[in-house]
Amino acid sequence: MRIAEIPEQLLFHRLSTEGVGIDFGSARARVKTNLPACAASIRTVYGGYFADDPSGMFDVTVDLRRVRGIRAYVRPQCQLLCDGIVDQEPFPLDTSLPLLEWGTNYSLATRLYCYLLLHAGVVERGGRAIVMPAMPGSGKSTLTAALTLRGFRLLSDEFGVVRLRDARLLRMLRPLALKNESIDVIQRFEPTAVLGRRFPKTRKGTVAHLAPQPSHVDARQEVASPALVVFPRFDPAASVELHPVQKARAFARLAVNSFNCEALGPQAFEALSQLVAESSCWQLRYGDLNGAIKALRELLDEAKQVDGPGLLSDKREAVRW
Amino acid sequence: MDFGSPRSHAPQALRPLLLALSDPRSAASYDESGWDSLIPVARTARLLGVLAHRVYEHVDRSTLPERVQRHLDAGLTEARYRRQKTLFLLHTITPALSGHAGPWVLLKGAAYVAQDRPLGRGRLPTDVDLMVPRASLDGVEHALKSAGWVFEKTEEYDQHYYRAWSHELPPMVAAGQSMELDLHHTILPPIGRIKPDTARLFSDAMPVAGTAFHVLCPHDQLLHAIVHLVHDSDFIGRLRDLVDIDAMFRALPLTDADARAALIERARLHDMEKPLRMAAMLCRGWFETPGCEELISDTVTAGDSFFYGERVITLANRVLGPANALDGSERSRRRAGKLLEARSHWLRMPPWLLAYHTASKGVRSLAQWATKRQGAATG
Amino acid sequence: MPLVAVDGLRIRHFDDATVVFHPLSWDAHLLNPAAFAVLELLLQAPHSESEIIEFLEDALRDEDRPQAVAHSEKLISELRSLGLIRQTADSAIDANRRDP
Repeated sequence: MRIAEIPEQLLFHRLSTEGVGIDFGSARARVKTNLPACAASIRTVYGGYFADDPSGMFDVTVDLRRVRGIRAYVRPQCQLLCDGIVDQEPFPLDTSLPLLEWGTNYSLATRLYCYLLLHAGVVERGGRAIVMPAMPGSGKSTLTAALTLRGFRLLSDEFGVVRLRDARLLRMLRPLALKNESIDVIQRFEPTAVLGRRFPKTRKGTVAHLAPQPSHVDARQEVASPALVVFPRFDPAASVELHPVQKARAFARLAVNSFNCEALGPQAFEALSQLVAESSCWQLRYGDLNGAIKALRELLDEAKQVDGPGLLSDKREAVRW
Repeated sequence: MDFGSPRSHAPQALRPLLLALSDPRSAASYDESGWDSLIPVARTARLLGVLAHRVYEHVDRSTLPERVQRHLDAGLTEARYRRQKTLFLLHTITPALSGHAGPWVLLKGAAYVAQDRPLGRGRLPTDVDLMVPRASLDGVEHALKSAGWVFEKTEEYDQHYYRAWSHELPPMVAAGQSMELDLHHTILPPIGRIKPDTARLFSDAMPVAGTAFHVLCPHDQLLHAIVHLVHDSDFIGRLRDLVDIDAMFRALPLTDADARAALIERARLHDMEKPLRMAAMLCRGWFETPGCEELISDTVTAGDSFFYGERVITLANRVLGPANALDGSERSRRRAGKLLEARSHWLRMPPWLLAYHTASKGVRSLAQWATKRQGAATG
Repeated sequence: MPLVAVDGLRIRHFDDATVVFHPLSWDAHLLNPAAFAVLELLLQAPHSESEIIEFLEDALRDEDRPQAVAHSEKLISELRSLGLIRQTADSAIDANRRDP
């Protein structure tokens, strides 16, 4: 049964007791909360996911709780425990979902040294992926969201998960965080899109989350091959401009824009090199979302299909002493 | 290597981790729920890499669930990165040291990495501690500055108090280096209560083959690890330091009567008998380390101590483990922590300074410095 | 004193430039064709500075030749500061030990 189909009361009961398992694809979290409002948000933005059995092993356990104590009366707050530890500052009680989302992302980014994690939005079509590194002002989230609403399937909005042994892209399906004007843009772009409520006054302005579609959730274990690396730049004055980017330069920009490239050393070097070798690299300047999507569709079709290399020279076992 | 079984000093919630560390073969029988409890605790205690190293040494990885392997590998990956950065730093500073009288003695984590000993595997050092003779300190500092190293803290009172009161300079950083470099001229503050025989630290230091560096002799490495934990820290979240000490006791081995006697004699030389005894009591309580019982009875003449005795051990037991594996309430851990912090400040100040209870600048600044140093302690 | 490339470098070519991974610092560097040409020369065998200059002179177009000396001095200095090349007298980096 998908989370959206579980009665609200029952879902809250499960979340506030043993928790609910949620599988993002390349990682899974045990999610708990004792806040009814947070449970309601989860029911919306994770609606397409399944509520897995919370027993067994998870990559992280996140628990969104009300902060107790005297202060709770003066300024009600919530906090997030990740594997029993509070890593983040508390948030106002009415801003629980953003804390859950950002905190969970942070936990994943700091635990998953088993993968190369790029900071990028990734979508695919026909098993061939477009990696869009996240630079400020890129409009990466808006573009990623729009692509997933026009025939591209979501791998992740935040994490480009690269499997070290063969540079394939894995999924880390999470609700897409949209900010400020982006929320209206996507709502207009696709009125049937499932959006959670807006949270004003966060550090990043107003935030709302787009729920991943059920069919995309169903594909969470599927693997994609790198085909395009696209550096988006939102420019309201432009329509759609594409410029090729030198591969070596794309390599450098991807490495710099990653969560753990440096810590993975030689394995990351090999995997990233392979990813870039197989990809066509571009800079996309766009003001028109539909135009951008069309351009990317054409680019993906044109990009030469390069055969994967099989296993790279440094297998995962090399991580051991 | 025989590890023994954990005793009742450790919180119940930590027993699975201690059992897995002490008997890695037992990990083969854990189910996914067991690992689900174990891995987050190991990670928070900064022992995931150590756990991974020990488990993989004794268990065929293909018998472990895929998800478990991924997390154990993650622990090793982080450790490998830190090790690499340590080696890179050592390689980089070697030219700057030449021409200045040595020996250049690596301390703690950097030493274990340079020696490539099992103790170093899976650890997460955050800085490189290097001890050079006092006479060479200024020259080495100058050479490092010329090579692009700068002090992280530049406030004048920090600089002054580090140099005047302490055994080390403020941490140094350099472009392209992820680790900090801490220069020492001895292992404890010269004004402190414990007076190690610094000349012997240097004269008995041993070279590390293939490098320009030395490390302390085995007894001194062990004693340094001990005072670092029981004299120079507040114990909070420092289980990994006790794990190191347990490993070093076993490597001696502490069960050998002659080795034990030599260790005690060395501790007396460095004025560290009480800390040694305390460390043995802690290891007995947490790891049942063989030889501790004998060491404790052999050092009974050291006398019971306010700072290194049973009461402190009771407090330490509450705070050594990570915050996500508590038996008692968080409040009782916090309370124990506050008392141990106060003990730590007290130990850091020499007796004659305590006579000044006025808010004179000197005392307050030293207390601030002591607090700042405490706050800077990570890794 | 002749110069030589350090051991254990990982090299990946792309159409237009080369990325090189240093086994000790774990840094990756972007090398343009001229820089890589010098590195490749020193991967094959040690060469003196004057030999490197001669090599670059041959590779450059006529109009750039007068700058060969300045060019190669700069290149050599950069490659040395990145640790990609060393003098043969410098202690060899034991890449095997550093890079499990």
